[in-house]
Amino acid sequence: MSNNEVNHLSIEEVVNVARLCHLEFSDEELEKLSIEMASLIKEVEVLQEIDTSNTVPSAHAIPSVHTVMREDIPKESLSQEAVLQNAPQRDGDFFRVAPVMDKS
Amino acid sequence: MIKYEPVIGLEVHAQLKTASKMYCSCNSDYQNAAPNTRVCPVCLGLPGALPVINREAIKSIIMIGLALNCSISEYSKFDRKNYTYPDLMKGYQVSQYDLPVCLDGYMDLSIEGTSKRIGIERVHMEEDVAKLSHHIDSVSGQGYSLVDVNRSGVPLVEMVSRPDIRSAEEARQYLINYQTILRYLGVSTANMDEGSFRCDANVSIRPEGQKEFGTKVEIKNMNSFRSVFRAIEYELERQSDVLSSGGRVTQETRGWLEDKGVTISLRSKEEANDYRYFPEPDLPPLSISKNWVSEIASSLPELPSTKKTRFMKQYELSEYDSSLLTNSYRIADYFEKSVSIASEEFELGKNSAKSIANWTITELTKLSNEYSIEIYDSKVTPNHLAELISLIEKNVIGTPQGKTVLAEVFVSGDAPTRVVEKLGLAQISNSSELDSIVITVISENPNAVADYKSGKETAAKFLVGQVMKATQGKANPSVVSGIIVEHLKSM
Repeated sequence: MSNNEVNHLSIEEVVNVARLCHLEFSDEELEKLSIEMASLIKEVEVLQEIDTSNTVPSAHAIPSVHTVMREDIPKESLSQEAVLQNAPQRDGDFFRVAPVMDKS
Repeated sequence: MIKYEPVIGLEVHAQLKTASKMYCSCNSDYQNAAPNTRVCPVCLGLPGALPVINREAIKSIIMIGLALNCSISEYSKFDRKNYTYPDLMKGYQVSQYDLPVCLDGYMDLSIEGTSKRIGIERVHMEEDVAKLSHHIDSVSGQGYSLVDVNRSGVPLVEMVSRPDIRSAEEARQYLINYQTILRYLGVSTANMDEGSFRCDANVSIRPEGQKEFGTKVEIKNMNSFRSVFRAIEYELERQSDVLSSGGRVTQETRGWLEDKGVTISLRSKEEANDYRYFPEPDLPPLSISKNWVSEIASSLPELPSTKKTRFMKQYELSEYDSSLLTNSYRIADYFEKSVSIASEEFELGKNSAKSIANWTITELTKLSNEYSIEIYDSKVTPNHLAELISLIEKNVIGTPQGKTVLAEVFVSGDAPTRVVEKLGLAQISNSSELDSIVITVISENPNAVADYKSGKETAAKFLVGQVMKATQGKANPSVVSGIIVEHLKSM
């Protein structure tokens, strides 16, 4: 995918990304996306031209920043009403969702 | 026929016992609260909500890493693991991908007397997910699921072994050992049936002698040590059948069905998740100072394997007895308390530790199982046990009476000395009383006396038995034997 020669993604690659995003496309849309996404990747590939041979790998954009931690003291949560107010479907004390069998 | 070698790796999730959640300050006691009442914007992934790491959780995972001989990373980071499932409100789990807190450790097992080292690849920090319950609508007959978000965000530690495990029994031992370590450290309740301790297994087989791994299958839904053992045994046999009949093992996720005793396919490799891990932008990397790690290291409690070795040495116990006593630190503490009371208050010798160990492992354990009360929660205190051993060693009661006394103390909580008085179980120590019983027994058994006189020394044993019967076991057999032989010799 990061190959400079590539002008479009395979339809399978586009379908896979769409599946992960829970999106569905028609055949024409998939065709169009395979070209558009490839050009997006190409744009970003400009970064590959930078010489990083003398750069230390970092796990964060600002390597000198570190996270702070909090003490383990429980605090008030939201009220149940507030928690459930945006539920697409509410069932008593719970969110209600479509059945799911396959456990990830 | 080709012999196959099992290759097993385990992934174990343990919930931490912190007071608050991993990335927010909601109370983490999700079980003792009404559904969806321990939930905040961070748990729900509401826009703008920012996670903050719980220091106690990081301390706990460092303790676990040290106990498992891991190196603790000075520089660690958090990543988003993306997947879509209703147990995940944010659409991702904040976990750790390539820079976990703990790396490269090991655990030593003792399998039938031989030591076996299992490598540990990593131990990382993540968060638990919401709890789903599945239902059927009584009107439409359609299924649906209910979501309780309370559990979401509870600190979860995932430990990943190397594929060094070679049998279902090793897998079981490894899990039991890890559970014991977590409980010794006091960082997790580690209860499989309550879900605070969960295990998935990666299982494959290869022809013996082959270096390359076979195709692995991931097994889920095992809810007890027994089901882990059974599921692995089943899976090893299934894969061996597939290969023996010329087939190929499919890379897939399979679920264990406890009641049917089989694994079934849940998901194939083609449908496998693509988690698209990327660094959690809301959490800068975590730096762990060497000072903090050595501070934690110096405050670690004695670990199970060290305690076991110490018990073997200090109390001259067998490896088996020592491991039984140290499987739970609370039983180990109970035992040691009783031993110290026995020597300090009852002035018993070193051997009393062995008696205390025996009585704990056999009689007390039997009562504990019978009444479903842990030994350390029972009415028998370490003091009571020491007192009982003292009564036996000082010949106030015999071993059979000791069992009766212990059972009574277990129920009533009365001191053993009181129980002995109450039930009239003390041995007859009055020699003139014993003397007269012996005389009666001898006069009633002329045949045994004659046998003895004709050289059959076992006849004396028969007479001892008769005296024990006459005293309802309340005599000391060796004292009785002495009196009988004295009488017989003078006849």
